[in-house]
Amino acid sequence: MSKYVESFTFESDCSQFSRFYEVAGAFLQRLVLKEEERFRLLLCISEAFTNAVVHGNHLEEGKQVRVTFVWDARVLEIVIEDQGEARPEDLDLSNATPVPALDSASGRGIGLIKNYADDLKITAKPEGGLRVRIEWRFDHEKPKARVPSDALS
Amino acid sequence: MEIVTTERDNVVILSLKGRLDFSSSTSLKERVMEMMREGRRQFVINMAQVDFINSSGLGTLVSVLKEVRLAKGRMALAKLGTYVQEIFEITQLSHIFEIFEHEEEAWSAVQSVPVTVN
Repeated sequence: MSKYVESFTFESDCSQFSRFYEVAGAFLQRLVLKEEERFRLLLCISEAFTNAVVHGNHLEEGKQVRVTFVWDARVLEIVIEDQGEARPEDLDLSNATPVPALDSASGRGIGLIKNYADDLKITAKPEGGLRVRIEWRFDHEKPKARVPSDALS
Repeated sequence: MEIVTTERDNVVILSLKGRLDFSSSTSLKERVMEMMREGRRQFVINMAQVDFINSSGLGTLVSVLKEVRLAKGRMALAKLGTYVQEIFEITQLSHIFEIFEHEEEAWSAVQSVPVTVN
């Protein structure tokens, strides 16, 4: 089965967010998705993009974020790479949850991706920076939430 | 994101339109803080035209709520869209925010805060 690949590069400043949503939105429109799936997928991509720009690259001029879409009829892979200095172990991926302390103003992004995506991997790039890979399969209905109910208490 | 501000009987109604994310949410917090400096303590955030929210937008709403409550004010959200509502439920923020289906209900709810006159 053929795979399609598209890649986009963004500078790490606030003005790029509008362009990111235009690009991601236009891309998602081309896929055959239910409206709720499109929303959840855009959410996941936006969380990873925001992390890359804000927490990875610290909004530094000259640093870039690359977003790559690889897809076929069964699976979409989204890879988001930054040029920051964080390490994967800094993120405590295994404990990430969409429900941090309720009065916390941050800390939900990775948990939301884990909740919705079929797979999430974060690795270090040899040249520095993180590579976030989100996998989204089209071949099954996704439940709304994967967080076990006992983890929500 | 656009913010339209109206007032009705000491309640500030902020009607948001567009995305509530990292790049847009600062303006919401700035608007609320500005109104609090003017003595306002009762807020309704009308979310009917918020078509997207992510964790950055949620974080800003949490931050704003904390500031309002610290000042002994009250804030309610109204008219969340289906998917926006879903994100509040997944993150359990539906437990800490007062969320109403209609703006009128939210307005009535925040009315119970005594108004301080500066």
